[in-house]
Amino acid sequence: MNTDIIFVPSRERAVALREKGICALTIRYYNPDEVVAAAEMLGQIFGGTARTKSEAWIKNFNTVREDMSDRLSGIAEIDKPVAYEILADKGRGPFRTYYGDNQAWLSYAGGILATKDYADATSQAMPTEEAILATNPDIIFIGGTYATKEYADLLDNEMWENVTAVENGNIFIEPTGATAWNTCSTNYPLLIYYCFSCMYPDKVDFDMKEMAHDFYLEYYEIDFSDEQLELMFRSKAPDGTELWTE
Amino acid sequence: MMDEATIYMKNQRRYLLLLTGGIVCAAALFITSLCLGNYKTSPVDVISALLNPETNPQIYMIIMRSRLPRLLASVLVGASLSAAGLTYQEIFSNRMASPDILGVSAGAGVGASVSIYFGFGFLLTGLFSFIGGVCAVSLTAASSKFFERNGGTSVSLILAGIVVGGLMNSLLGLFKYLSNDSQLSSITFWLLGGFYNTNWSQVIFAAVVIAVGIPFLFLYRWNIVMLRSGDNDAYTHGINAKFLRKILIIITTIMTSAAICISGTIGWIGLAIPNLVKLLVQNDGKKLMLLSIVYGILFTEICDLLARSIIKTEIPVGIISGFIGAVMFILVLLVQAKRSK
Repeated sequence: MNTDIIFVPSRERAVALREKGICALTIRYYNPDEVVAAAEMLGQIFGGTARTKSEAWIKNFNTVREDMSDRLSGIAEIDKPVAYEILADKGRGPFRTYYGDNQAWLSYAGGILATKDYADATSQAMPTEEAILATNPDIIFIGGTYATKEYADLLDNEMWENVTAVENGNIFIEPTGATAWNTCSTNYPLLIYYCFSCMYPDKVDFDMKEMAHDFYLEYYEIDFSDEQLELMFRSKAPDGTELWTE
Repeated sequence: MMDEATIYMKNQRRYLLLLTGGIVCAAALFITSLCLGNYKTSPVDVISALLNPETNPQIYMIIMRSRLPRLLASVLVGASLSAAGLTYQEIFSNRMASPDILGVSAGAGVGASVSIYFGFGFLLTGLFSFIGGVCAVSLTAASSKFFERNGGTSVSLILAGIVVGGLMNSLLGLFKYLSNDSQLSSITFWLLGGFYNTNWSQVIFAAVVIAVGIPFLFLYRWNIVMLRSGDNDAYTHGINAKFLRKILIIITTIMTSAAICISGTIGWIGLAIPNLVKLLVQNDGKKLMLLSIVYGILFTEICDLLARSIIKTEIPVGIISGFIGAVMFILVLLVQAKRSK
């Protein structure tokens, strides 16, 4: 390979490559702050329009956080809904989720993390099904390629039928645009506004689809049609089919 | 100096005390575990939910869909692995023998890894691990013929088991290497063992298999103990040692595979519990099987309860059983060494 730079997720690997004379940088984005740092670094590396967009995105994201802080300033902690996010994946059920600062964006949107007591959890050291149920979330978000399947499975799952979110029908599928919004990515501003609109529908004074359209036009130079936006918000493929496979 | 009748009565009382105590403790722990968990429930809540699910449907659902299946699974796995472990130790006349000796655990691990790698669900993973365990032991049995020497069938089986176990572990390593982060995490968690995802289908499957195997082992416990004296002595007592050994290997392999398919690999039960029991009843053959089963159940229940109680997240049961089993085994060896002096 004749590469100018290699991005790797681990520092050790980057150091090992640099010792061999290969230009390598660590890039990881497992929480909002890391996404900002990654955007800034990539903007500096590639320069030109990439730098301009990176700076604009970071400024926009900081504006979003300030806007959310203002919107939520009058809401007491006790009045905020307990929110649980499912990272839908094949055969994983409703217990796959992010922990710790991976879900900081949910706090920006005005939710209390259902898994806040498991901030030290890892992909292996996870709470049990019972522990998740004990949090009794008020609202559930489902993201990922298998979101629509998990949504249907959740409604059929007897273990979850008495959970407050399920009883009240407060289950929302996170949209999938250029990437699934639930992954740590530049979609954070949209995800935060989307989840805010689900948790506080009476405080919404913006149009999510219009916001998504303008966002992708500015940062990705993609002009999504109304139909495409509709499919995006339903987490469907551009041709209307499901994103997941059996 | 006590006469033989007095010694016999004393040993019988001791045995009955150990057996009764073990059963009572296992039953009490079962009921206690039903009331314990991350979802706070009192004994009154549990009884009320069981008698009338409408009063608290969420608690009823948690008990029936989560706690009860996993508790029953721990009972089945504990009984199965300890009975199988004792049988292996008698078959091979080797106190270090365990259900892993013929490669069943490694084979089950490969089966589960294949399923996880190809993205099959949890139920299929259990089925694949069952098939993997049975296939590994079949391969061991078939290849043992190449190792048959003067040591006889037992030695050749153990040698073949070591080879097949090594082969399976290499295959396991290959799947781990090829897996992505998510798959590797799932494989590792499965290999560490636990009852966190047990459902009724798995419990019923394991129960059917183990319910056939354990009565057979119990009914033939005398014959099994006779095998430790060697094939010639067994023959003089009218036991076809070679045939019985084959049947026992088949049954214990199926039982062990059924246990592993619902719990992953949980070590030390098949090794430590029979040795502990032998220490308690001074290796009295006719008392070993039932006592091993009872204490195997108790040990697994203790490990499961600790696994989900020590910290907020769940520790794989295999880790807990490893720590406790190893310490217990060392203590058994120390006491035996002291007694032999």
